[in-house]
Amino acid sequence: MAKRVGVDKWLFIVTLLLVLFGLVMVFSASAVMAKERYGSPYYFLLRQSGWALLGLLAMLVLMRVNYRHYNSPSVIFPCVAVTTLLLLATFFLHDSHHTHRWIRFGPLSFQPSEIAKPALVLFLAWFLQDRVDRMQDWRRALLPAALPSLLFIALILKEPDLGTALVCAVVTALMLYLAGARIKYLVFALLAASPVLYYMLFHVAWRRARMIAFLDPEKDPRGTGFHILQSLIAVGAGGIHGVGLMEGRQKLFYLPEPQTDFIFANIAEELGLIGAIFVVALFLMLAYRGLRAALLSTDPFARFLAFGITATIVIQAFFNISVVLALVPTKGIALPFISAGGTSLFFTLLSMGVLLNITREID
Amino acid sequence: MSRKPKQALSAPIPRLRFVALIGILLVWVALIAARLVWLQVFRHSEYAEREFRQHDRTFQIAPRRGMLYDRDLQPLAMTVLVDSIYAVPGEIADKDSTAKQLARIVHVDPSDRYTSAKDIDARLHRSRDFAWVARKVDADVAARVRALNLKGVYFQKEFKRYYPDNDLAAQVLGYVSLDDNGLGGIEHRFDGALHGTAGQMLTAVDARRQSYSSVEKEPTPGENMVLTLDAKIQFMAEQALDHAMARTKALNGTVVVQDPHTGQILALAIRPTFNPNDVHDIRPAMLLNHAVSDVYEPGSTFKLVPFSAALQEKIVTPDSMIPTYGGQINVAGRIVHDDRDAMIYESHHGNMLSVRQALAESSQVVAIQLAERLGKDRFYRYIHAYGFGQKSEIELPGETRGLLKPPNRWQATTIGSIPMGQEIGVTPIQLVTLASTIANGGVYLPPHIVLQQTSDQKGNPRLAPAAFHPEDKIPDTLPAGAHRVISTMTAAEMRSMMEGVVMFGTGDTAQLNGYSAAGKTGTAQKIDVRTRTYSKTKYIASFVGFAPVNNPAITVAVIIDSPSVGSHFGRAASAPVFQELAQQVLEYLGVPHDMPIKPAKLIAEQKKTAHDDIDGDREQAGDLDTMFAEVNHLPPDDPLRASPGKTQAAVADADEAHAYLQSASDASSSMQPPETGRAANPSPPTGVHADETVLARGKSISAGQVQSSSANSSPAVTLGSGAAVTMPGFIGKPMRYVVVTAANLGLNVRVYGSGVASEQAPAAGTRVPAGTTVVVRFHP
Repeated sequence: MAKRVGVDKWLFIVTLLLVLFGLVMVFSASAVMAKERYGSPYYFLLRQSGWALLGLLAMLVLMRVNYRHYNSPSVIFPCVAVTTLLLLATFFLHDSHHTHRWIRFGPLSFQPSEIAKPALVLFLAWFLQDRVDRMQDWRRALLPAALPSLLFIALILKEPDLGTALVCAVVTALMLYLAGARIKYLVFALLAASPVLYYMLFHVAWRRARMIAFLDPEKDPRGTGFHILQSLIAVGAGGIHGVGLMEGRQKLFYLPEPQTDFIFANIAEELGLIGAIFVVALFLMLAYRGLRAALLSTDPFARFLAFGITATIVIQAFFNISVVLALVPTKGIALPFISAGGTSLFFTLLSMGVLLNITREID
Repeated sequence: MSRKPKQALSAPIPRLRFVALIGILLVWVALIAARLVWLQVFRHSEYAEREFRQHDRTFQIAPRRGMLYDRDLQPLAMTVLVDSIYAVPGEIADKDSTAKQLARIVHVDPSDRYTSAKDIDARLHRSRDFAWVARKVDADVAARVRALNLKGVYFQKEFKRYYPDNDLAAQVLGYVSLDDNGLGGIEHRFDGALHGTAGQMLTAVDARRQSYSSVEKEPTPGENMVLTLDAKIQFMAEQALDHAMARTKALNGTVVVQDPHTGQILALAIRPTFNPNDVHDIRPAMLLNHAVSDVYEPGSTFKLVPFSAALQEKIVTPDSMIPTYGGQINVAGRIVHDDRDAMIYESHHGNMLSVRQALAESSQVVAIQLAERLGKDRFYRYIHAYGFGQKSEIELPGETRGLLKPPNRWQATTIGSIPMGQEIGVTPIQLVTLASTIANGGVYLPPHIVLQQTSDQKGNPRLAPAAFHPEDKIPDTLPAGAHRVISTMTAAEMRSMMEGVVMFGTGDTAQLNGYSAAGKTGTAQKIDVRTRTYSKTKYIASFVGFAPVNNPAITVAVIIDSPSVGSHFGRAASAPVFQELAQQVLEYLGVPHDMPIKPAKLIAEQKKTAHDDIDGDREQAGDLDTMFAEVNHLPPDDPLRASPGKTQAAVADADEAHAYLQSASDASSSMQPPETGRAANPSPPTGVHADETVLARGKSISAGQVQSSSANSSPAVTLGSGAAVTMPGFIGKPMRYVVVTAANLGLNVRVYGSGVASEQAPAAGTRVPAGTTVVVRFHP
């Protein structure tokens, strides 16, 4: 038993900073649109604040719950089962915009795919903790490890929520890689997945157009290139100091989803290079403290858990930022902590609670 | 790597892989940072510029152009809101077919290339963000385009200048371009004031093209202006001039009606003319206001100057006898002849003429002698005092001062040329002011055409109508620029001598019925530009006069340039215009008769002898008779004869009546919608419409009503589809009574001829909607 030294203060501060910063930016990005659509500029701010409060409370609770409680099949399997059921449930509930991402309870709604990420990490950490040296046995280690992932990914793809599916896939691959899986197998898996990937990315005409648009948004500035070009204009117009908080203008119906997927563009426009680097630095700090926990933890379960949680958050963050900066094609991936979206924020904070608990045993 | 399962529990994650992942992460972060710096530092200005471009547009908010009114506040030019159609080409998939579809509707005028499919297509390809399809289109065109519901095609409200009376006083008003710039006339001269000040709106536009913030500067509407014109007198003047143009086939013609006691211009008609509503058809030559921009040699009308000066200087009296030397005089070696008629007259009077007779017969010999007795300096002073050789400063653009050399530059023969109106160039405005000076008792009053301006209450038209009532004296305090030229005594003598011109002399074709009239004819040879000598074939026939003689209500100048049919003399070409116009105007003004009214038969006989070379009225009269017969002898069950009470039916019936009238006259002008208007046929063929004068038009033409008048309905009917009125009986009533009664009832009047009303349609007692046009024919 390692001695208890208290949670990682850096990680805790970074988390709080990200949440508070996110609330400010959600308000700035959504006020005009919320006023027009819902009659109150505070609509998104209030919802997000509610989820943030709930999430922080949950984080504070989980911070104090020993992570070893999860290290048991009686926790892991129900967790995976419930997630699967919820993912399935979306297909039988009302669809919005011809997608099945949401489950609604009256005014509340949440995205089961947000649960899938921590559930997957939990399962993999549990499954991989004692198989690090048996990863060459692809039939008894690799495949069983990947099965729940494949199930989740398939269901999430079906929603369709390409971004989340991608994050799940990458997190799974990274955890398997870290557990010692042969790179050969991972490449095989990628090759096997590529027809599906191709079908998903290029078969549907508008997706293909979106795929190509990021390479040259100027080609069709009013069509497929519009969103990414507007995002670049927002970032570029921000300059070093930004145009000032609340002063951004690209959010006024030029930026797609200025309070969710493209909130980073709004941050870059309003707070400039300084603000953008600040956000990147916060996530880098989070990555450093999270990976440090994974590295220094003595418990293999804790290691994989800490790594998986950190990876999930950081991968999402940098993917999102890369999309905004047109480094990768447009994908529906939110910026953790910051993008408006209650489920995402809540479960991210939940994961942080677990991660913070792990850091208690590290000095 | 350990192969021992026991160690698995504490086996560390392979450090190498961990480091590799951290390496990848750091590379990724570095990429993101580099990208951020690239976008936000190196390409910042470019993106900032792009952002500004797509958000901020400085809009000019067009101000509403001021109204132009006649003196009764009847609108002459108004500004209405119409639709302009534009496209955002970037939103249009198939530009070619869209252009074709649009052109099918908006390409109304085949001569207007701007709205052709080819030009629209070209504009659609030129810009991605904005292209005009058609500017300021009619309501029905806009509605039809709207019905197409084309993607990327939008509408914008724009102000359009609208002239409710089409070509009425066109050269005075001028017109405005599509971009609201005044071109020609008052519109040009007062463009700044009328235009108003554009508002500024710095608008940020969001992606859905909704403006979300704006820094606004309200536009200041243009000033409203009241002109001295009386639209009804203007109608009469244009009608009389139209007749003269049809009769003489002249190059152009000018009629100016002035209030002699104020110098205000009551009517100013020019032919050929244009319709300021049809901007495409306007050529610069049409815009020329000959009344102020044309310099011509006045000929004998100018004799009023040497005669009045000689009387004023007491060199002669009206009854002084002047030798005529057999009708010729030698001026510095140049022999000047009187014309043949005058010479015969002179020989009958023993080669001596009284000053009065000399003016009546327009003797050159006497005029020259009077000028010689005045001496060139004194003569020049009078010429100058009458306003010649200087701009009158009337509020019209393009005025010229005329041609007048100072005496020290006169040649030896000049003293023989100017008295007969040669070697001097005048404008019609100067000429009418000369006659007014004599008419009002000898005071030069500078001519004016602007009565009021709302300069201190911009956009708040607190204008008062200033109906024209003939004055009997000049203002007690003379306005700026006014000065006495001749004494009241001299002026009275001149008036009586000029009455002689009309009664016994060269101006006999200007005689009125029931009114005394005074005037002077003139026939000037045009200077052939090629040979720089006097043309043998081109003449300018003029007449200037006033009536009634002792207390003139109006002064009229008529200038017919190059009449090609009939006599070129002022007596035949111009004086009859005065006769027709002055008769009608005086009756309209209700000026009391100062002469016995001659029976119609006598007038007809006189006309027959006097106007041997003038006919054409007869055919028109025939058409008129047919029309009246058709309208007034309707079958008993005809809807037009509907009994009072059936208001609804009467409204529809009036429409039919109009259709009926329209078919009776083969071509209708005032019944056409305002868009086409009268300019479509500037020199109308013989037809009923050539005779018509629309009086007492509905004064409340609002934009909506204007637009609602479609091609087949008469504005007169659409305007007043409200209350029904019972048509009063006009037969036997004087014109003034008819005009006033009709106006009070809200009826339009179309007047033919002068005298007392002899026929009317629709008949008395008919129930008609207000705004219906009643046609009334007058007979002497």
